[in-house]
Amino acid sequence: MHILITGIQSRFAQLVGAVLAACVGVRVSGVGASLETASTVDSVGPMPRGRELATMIRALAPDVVVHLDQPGEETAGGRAGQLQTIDLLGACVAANTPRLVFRSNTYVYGATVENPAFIPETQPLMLAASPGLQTDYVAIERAIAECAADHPAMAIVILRCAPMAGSGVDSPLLRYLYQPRPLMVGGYDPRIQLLHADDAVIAFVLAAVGNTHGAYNLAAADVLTLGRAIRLAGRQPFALGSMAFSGSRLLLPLTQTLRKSLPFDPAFLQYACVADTRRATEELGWIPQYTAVDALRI
Amino acid sequence: MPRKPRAPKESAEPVEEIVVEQVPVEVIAEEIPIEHASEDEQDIEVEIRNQDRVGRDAIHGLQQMAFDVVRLLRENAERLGAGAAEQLQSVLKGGVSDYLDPDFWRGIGMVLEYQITELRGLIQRRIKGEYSTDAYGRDDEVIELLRPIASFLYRSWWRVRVVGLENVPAEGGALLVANHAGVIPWDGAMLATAILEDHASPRLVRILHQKLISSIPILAPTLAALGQVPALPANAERLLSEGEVVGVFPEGMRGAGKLFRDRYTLRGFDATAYVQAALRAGVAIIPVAVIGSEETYPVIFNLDKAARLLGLPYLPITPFFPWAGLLGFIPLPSRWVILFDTALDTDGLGTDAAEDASIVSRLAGVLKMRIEALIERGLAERGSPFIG
Repeated sequence: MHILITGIQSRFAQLVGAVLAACVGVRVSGVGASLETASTVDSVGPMPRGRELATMIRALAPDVVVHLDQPGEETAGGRAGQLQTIDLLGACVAANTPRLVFRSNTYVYGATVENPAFIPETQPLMLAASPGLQTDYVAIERAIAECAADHPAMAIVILRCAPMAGSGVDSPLLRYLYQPRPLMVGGYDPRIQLLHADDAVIAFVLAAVGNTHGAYNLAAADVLTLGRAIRLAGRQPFALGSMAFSGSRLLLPLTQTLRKSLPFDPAFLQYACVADTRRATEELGWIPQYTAVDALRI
Repeated sequence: MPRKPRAPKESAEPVEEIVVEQVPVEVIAEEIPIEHASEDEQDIEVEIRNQDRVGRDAIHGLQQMAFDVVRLLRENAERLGAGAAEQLQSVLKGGVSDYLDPDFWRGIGMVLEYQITELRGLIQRRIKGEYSTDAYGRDDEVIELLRPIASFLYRSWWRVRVVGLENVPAEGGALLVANHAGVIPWDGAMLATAILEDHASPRLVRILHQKLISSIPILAPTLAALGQVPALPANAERLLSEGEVVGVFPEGMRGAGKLFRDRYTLRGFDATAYVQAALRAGVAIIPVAVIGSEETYPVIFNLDKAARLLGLPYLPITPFFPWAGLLGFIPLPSRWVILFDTALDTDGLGTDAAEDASIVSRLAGVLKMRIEALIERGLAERGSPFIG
């Protein structure tokens, strides 16, 4: 089995590649700005664009493509990221690649009062009020869903990861948690989920070598409240009245500054976005080894 | 003419001591003529005892309340650990009627101090994040903290009587469906307290609350900490399949804000989605009637337009709100009865029955009728709403 991993320059992709390469009968190629790749992964050079990408994939003819090419941990890459995903989808369709694995985020469900306590994969995705991570991921998922509908023969897996934690991980949630005084909206303490990067690696490996398709939520088994997560990170929250966030025009400049200081939509400070991970356990056979508390302590 | 306080009569009975100490006060107040004062002491004692008897009924309630406060403290102390419990035990050795003994109050003070130390430790641990919540945000420490208050309301304030508690299974999931009332709906809290305090195998009922309450600051995280979950059928189904007892009030806000003249009628009751959830999870559906919650805040009328303007579900006028200010929030001490009926007959219905709309709506109809009948029974059983 030949597996192609994009974005091999990232630490996360290298881990996925290394674990996949250890599997019997698996050959792993990595595409991306070639830094020091693991010796078990064949590096095939930097990520091409457009027609060149299609030519490359047709030439390599991989059985599985795992798309991890993102400018940083958990960034969707904005417009460029969307275009790249569409490019890759087109190239894989042209090369008749049987299996694709994409990375998404549980942010796609959005944080609203309407969310069930545990969001199933079938819940419609939600665009955020402001552009950003959530909107980018939703746009990417829409392109993937369209492609999946048009080409039912392709097995497309989307792994919706909860905000990642773990050593060496730089995720929006972690950046927020390790601010000197993380901001909370007064009177709210939403439940949040975390995912240890090592558990995510295993999920990508299982998705790549498995034979299921569709979207899967990934998160640690336990759910924390935001206030507790901040305290576990060794910080004390700074609570601001909800009026400053949503209310009056007088506070608009302040509101905008605050909103910009957050790496995600401010709604996530008020409402829970907790995903139901049962499908990943039942169908992928994925069982997270780290709890959210462990992930924060590491 | 002032009389010298008499030396207390030597007696082992504390009740008599109280009577004797009251004598001089009574005498001064009534300015008893000298010839009366020179009469036998027995007469005066009899007189005071008679007065006591007249006021006894009124005082009895208060005495009972004081008794309950003491019990509450003791239960609290037992929860805190052996040290505090022993402290209180030694204080209470002489019997709880020693309210006038300063040592009694000193002991209570020590117990309270112990509690404050304990509370400070708790807050310090919480600041460090050393606490845990379940996946729905339930925080057992907060529950334990507020449980004495719920217990006090349950036993002393509303004197809740429970009927048919054995119909709630000791383990596994069960759906409790009840009528809703009270502007501030205490019925959910009392339903949960009933299972926690009086059931043979106590556990916390997961009460489902109106989902929009999750957008109200402070209230939202508090309710979550108390184990409540937003009322979405998906949440009910998950909790039930996890083996939890779930309490729902399908009337929702319409039930909670209903007028006093509409009391004990079901308003906009639709349990279809919850019946479906229970069938999917394969658990018992138990009709519940809560009697007494309607009298806690008798709503004379609702200011609908003002409520809409303020974005509130309802703005009620009660005999005490808004006239009495914050005091208007104190619920009236009505007498409560909570009745648990036997589970609906779902024998022979598999989980696929949940997808059959006719079965689900028939069961929901039966459920509504059972609750209405149960309310009638409960009202007859309770008698007077306040006295007793």
